[in-house]
Amino acid sequence: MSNINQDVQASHKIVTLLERANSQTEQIIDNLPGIFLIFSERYEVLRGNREAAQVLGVDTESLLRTKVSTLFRTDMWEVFIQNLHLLEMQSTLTARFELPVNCGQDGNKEKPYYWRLSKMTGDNNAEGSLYTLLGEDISQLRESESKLMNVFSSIPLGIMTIDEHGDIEDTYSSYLLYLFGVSSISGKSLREVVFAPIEKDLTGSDVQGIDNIFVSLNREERFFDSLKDTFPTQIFLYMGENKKEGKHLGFSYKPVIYDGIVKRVLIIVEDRTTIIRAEEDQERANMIEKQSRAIYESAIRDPLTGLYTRFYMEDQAEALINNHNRASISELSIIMFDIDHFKKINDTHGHDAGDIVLRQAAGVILDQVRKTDVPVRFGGEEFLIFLPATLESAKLLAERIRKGIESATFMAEGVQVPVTISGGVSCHTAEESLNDLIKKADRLLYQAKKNGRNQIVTE
Amino acid sequence: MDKTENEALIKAKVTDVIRHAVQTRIGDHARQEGFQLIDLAGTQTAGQVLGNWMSIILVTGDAIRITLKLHFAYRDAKAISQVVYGVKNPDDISDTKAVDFIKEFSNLTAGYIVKIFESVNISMGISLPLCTRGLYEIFADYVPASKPLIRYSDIWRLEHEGHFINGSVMVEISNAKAIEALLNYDISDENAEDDSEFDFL
Repeated sequence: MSNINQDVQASHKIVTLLERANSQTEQIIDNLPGIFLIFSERYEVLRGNREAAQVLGVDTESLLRTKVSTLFRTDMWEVFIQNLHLLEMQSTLTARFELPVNCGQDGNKEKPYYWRLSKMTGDNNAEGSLYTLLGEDISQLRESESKLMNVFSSIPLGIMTIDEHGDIEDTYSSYLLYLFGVSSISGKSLREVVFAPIEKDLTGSDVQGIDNIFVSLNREERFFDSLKDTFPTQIFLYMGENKKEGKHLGFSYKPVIYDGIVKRVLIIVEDRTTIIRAEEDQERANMIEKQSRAIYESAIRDPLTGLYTRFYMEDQAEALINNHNRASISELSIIMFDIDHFKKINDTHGHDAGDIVLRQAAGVILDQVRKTDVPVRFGGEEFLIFLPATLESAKLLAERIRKGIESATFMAEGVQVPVTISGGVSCHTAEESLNDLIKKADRLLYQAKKNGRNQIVTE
Repeated sequence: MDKTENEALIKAKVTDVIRHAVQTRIGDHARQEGFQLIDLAGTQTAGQVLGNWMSIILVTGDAIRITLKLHFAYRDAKAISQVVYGVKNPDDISDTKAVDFIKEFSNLTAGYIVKIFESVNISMGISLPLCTRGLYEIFADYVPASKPLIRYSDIWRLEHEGHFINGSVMVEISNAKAIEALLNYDISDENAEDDSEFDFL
């Protein structure tokens, strides 16, 4: 056997292995996802994968030597040619571009594709320069983007990014146009669109915060974080002088970091007008309620003594009488007080002293009554207490109050004024009217006065 | 006869022998008649991609090395091998069987070339056929380790009823003197028997 033949024999195994390896590699190429083509400098296809044949509507074996230009629409092919020239002119390794493909039987259906066009290293004597073309179907990506954009568009939030110069770069919601009352914002300065219209309303700290946004761009994340809290988080934006149509806008800021540097900032804008107006309305409602309550209190409470007024008494006493009539409460009693010689106190020490006595005597009464009792300034120096209790309990209460006043120290113009009180105690009988009940108590009070004052007379 | 004329005669004879081997073997192997060998010289360049698939086989000896490449597509290989596989529809033939058919055709052709050379006492051997596709084909041009005395390529197409197999041949002769014996070989004699022994490596 010759030496050459020995060489051939030795290579048999290698040939077999190569054939197997090649077969596997080619199968991988066949099944590559997307469009894969290799073509010569005469733009003739030398190799294509299955998807390329399928998408471009060509039989797999017929791809060989097919002119690439015939696989695409003329306007699309022109883009490929431009990128081929780019590869040659700029020695770029790979040209990347997005271009739709007309696919399907009639070629009317278009799908977006992302392309990578590369020149293979080393020319071939027979074929010249070789190029690879990889096309990735991004229709699903676009569909997802579209869905996402629909979500962005439908939520009442404006989302945008500003670039390292502070210009609005990407906007993810047309809602922004509405919020800022402009027809376009991409490419414009954030300062110009958002803050310039309300420049005269901005405080010093607002201006500083706005400046800090721009200062923090293109800086380290730590620096951004140190200034972030100074950025304006809420503004009232209006056009011209029309504050009525203005909007309360809330802002939040999220840095987009590249290699530790803040290259962009994601800004989320929220229209808080409705919320703030609702808060203002609520505040107004609270104020009105407070005022109403004060008015009501002044109507039912005697401002001097803090006891209930006759106005309030009529409702409350009638309610107690009704409850007693319906047996909702088992007992209902009444105490009527009158300060002894009150006219003399007034005449001797003046009305201010009289007021002090009234206030202090009422204080004793308020200290002694329960929550369920209704203490009333009936008029002048007369007091009434309606209490859901037995006559005996009412008598005890009346006596405690009398003693309380008797033992209390009343001072007027630096002089101690002795004050006593007389009282009549009665209980309500079925179907007895309020007037009759009061009259009954009044008669007993008169009796106490007649008996020498500073005493309680019970029915 | 000067050296140039002698080289031309040798090239012509080697080319004839190879083309003859191809033409006769395809008829026998495919069990069909009517194959035509069409000269593509001048229209194609050696090294070009001439088919989706390529079968390559080396016929080599001390004096000469022949690289025979057959370039084809499945659909053509299936149509041509239809009779052999006994099917009415070429699509019923699997891709693997189509490739095997061409590889066997490469093998038979190479074997027949060896027989012819050995009939004039030129010892030769053949490699296993390798079938490949894709870019490997482009780079399949053989670059000789030592400079041959004569090196040339031949390109042709075997056609049969609209189907075809392209062939490209690289011939490298390192000892022209030893090959001169082939000049006496007369193709029309057909004295190289199909069933004779040859050195299959």
